[in-house]
Amino acid sequence: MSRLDRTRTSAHQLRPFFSSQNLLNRADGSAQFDFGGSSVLCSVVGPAEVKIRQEKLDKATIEVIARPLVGLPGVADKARERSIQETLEPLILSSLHPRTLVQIVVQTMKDDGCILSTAFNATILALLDAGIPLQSILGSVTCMIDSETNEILLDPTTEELARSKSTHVFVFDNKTSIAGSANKDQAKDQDQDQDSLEGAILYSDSTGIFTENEYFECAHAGFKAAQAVHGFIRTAVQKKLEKEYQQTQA
Amino acid sequence: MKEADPSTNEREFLLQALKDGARIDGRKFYDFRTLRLEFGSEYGAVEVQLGNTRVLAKVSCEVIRPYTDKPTEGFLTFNTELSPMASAAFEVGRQTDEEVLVSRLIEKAMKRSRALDTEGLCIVAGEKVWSIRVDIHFLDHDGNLVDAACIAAITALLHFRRPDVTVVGEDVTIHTLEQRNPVPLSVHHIPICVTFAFFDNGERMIVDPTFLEEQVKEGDMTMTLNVHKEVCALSKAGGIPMDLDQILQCTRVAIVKVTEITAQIQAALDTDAKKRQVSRK
Amino acid sequence: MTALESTSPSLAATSPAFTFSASTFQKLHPTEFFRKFASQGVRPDGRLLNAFRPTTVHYGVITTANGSAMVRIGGTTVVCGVKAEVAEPKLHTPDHGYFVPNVDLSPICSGAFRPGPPSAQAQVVSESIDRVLKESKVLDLKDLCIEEGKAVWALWVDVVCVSYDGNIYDAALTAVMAALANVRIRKPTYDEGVVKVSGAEDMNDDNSFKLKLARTPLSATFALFDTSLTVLADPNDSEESICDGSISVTLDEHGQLCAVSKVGAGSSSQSLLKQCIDRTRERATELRAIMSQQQQ
Repeated sequence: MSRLDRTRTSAHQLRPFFSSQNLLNRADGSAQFDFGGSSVLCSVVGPAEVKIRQEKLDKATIEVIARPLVGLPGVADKARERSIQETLEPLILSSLHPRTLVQIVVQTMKDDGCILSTAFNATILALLDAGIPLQSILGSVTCMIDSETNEILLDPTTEELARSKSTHVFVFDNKTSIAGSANKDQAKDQDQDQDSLEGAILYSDSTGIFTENEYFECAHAGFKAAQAVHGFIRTAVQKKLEKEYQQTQA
Repeated sequence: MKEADPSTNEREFLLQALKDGARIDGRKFYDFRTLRLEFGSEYGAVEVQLGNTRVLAKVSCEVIRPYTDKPTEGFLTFNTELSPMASAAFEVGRQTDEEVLVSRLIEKAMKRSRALDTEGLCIVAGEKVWSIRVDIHFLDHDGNLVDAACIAAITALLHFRRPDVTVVGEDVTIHTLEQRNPVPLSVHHIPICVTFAFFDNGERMIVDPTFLEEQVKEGDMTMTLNVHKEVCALSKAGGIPMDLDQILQCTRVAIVKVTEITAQIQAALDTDAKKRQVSRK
Repeated sequence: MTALESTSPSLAATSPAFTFSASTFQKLHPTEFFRKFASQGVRPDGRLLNAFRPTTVHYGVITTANGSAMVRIGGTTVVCGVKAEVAEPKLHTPDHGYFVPNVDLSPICSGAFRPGPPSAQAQVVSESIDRVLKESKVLDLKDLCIEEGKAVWALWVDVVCVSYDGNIYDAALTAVMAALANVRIRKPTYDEGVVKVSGAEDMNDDNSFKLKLARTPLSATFALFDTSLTVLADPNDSEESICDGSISVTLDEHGQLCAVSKVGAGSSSQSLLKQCIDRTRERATELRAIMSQQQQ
């Protein structure tokens, strides 16, 4: 099955990932994450001084600011801020830094669909770069259902999204995936178990018109693809640490 | 979050170095930091790095109805809201005086100098005109945001291509980028900003101050010129008083800088154009 | 806050030195207070964990609007008014009308909201409703066209919250759908650049039209309490404030999903989501019954 996006041949193929950490000078941590033609830059400052109005006595305040590529921040950006903030709040070990602020700025650099997923992945890399203590690591993937073929397409481009019947954004953390892969080893002889493996959903946002089955099929496809994202994040962090280690040795 | 002032040691060290004729990053007084221009895959997106200062400019366009009193004029708007990404001192929704000044300066340099032909943006008089929008995103603040932003804005405008249109009577067809080659904007001249910082009662002056130098400076001035040695804007808001001679000296320095920067922009645009041609084949 | 009550001397030997009245305990440790209830399978307001609050829908509460509805879910009351205005179409969609939903959470409905520009929460709810209406194609925007490229109907869909006690998304979406079903617009005439909408006589089927709604999405929201992710249907304000996350499911009358969102809290299993979807089906059927009952 061919895709509108000519660079890809299969419906479940993701666009090439790219990431770069610690590229900003002023922020405590920063990272850029690309899904092909979509790119998001994220900066993290914190734990830092918090305004009294925002102060929480038992944990750090997490503030997310999302900025669009074109125009002034609008309602859609507010919704994006909320999504990221509410997903990160239980993920960040914020009780370790009470009465401080962790400020996260998410800037769209290139937009070719799936910005929310790109932003989630950039944010987690930036938080890792800033050394903010985390409970687990997340990975996000967007998928859509084509209105003509009813096929699930992963990581769609803007052009493909125009033909979507529904779009689904998923976030999975790596805790449940690790448990999943351990299960896989145990269930080596039972192939069925592997397939019935399901990811626990950390964040999900779906709109359009779709059936319950389609939703869970998307979740399943998203979960599989998120493993690739988790793997990539792991490698990115590993490479960065190796490089830093070499620099301290030199 | 308030910006922390530099320590007395930092300040004294920097001032002493200047007295000895040196800058702490090893530059000469009239040197710019390394300028890097990087184009995105789309037209009109450019990321500028001036040392550690980083700015992204993105040009976009749409068709809108013109004002009734100016039926043939297109629109050129700038969005220069400072993002907390550049520095935690910038807050969303609350502009400090410094932010207002930076925004105004950029707008003055780019818009009032009439660098872009807004009449050329007309499609059907009184009905449809192009509105060109330049979003400037400040990503990292290591001083001299104005110069970096101006370079980013003008380079993005030069790089941008708008969709071609055909007008038959009242009907307007906008061709997609695949159907027809997009059209560049008509840019009259390339205004470039050069910012000076003054120290020691105006005895020492440097170009392209870093963030630390900006914090310690006694006064500053931004000149906007083009390669034709025309001054487009000159802004000196407060700071220590300057002699006329010193200002003339600044102009002479600025002209050299403007010529260098313009050449670099042109070279970068040419390289990118060649790259695009190759990839199309 | 009431002061600590000391216990009677005879009890002091066996029980701790201090005990709190229930209301003090609730104020000091709202989460622990709630946990005690939840472990027994009930909630402080007497509901079971998966029970919704009593819901009422009234149509046509604003006579000056083209369509309106008031929805009450427990202590949350919202009013939605739809105003149709003749407007110029956008240049890139000359034959499309448009609708603009807006949710207003003003200080009148709760002390938690401040006057001034819309709060982040209000914006997020507005955006969610806008997305559901657009992405599930509830309205065909071409129906709102009067004359291509010249005039279209613009629908201003304003939701005002009068009293806030949690679960604003369900209340607002129900109100919007009820108000849209209630809309009646006078048939316009277009003649050489002038749109005429007669205003004198009473509206009837000849001189006015109703909106064609392709579907009626309705939602159910569940809060996720604690790390155990105890599901609380239709959370009220105090429950929302102690919960970290929520699941919202939006369904149309054919049982098709229009939106599913899960935000905050920890990772939830897919069976939990399935459970919420199933519960939403029941709830949506009830809600539709309430809506159609009132309409006659």
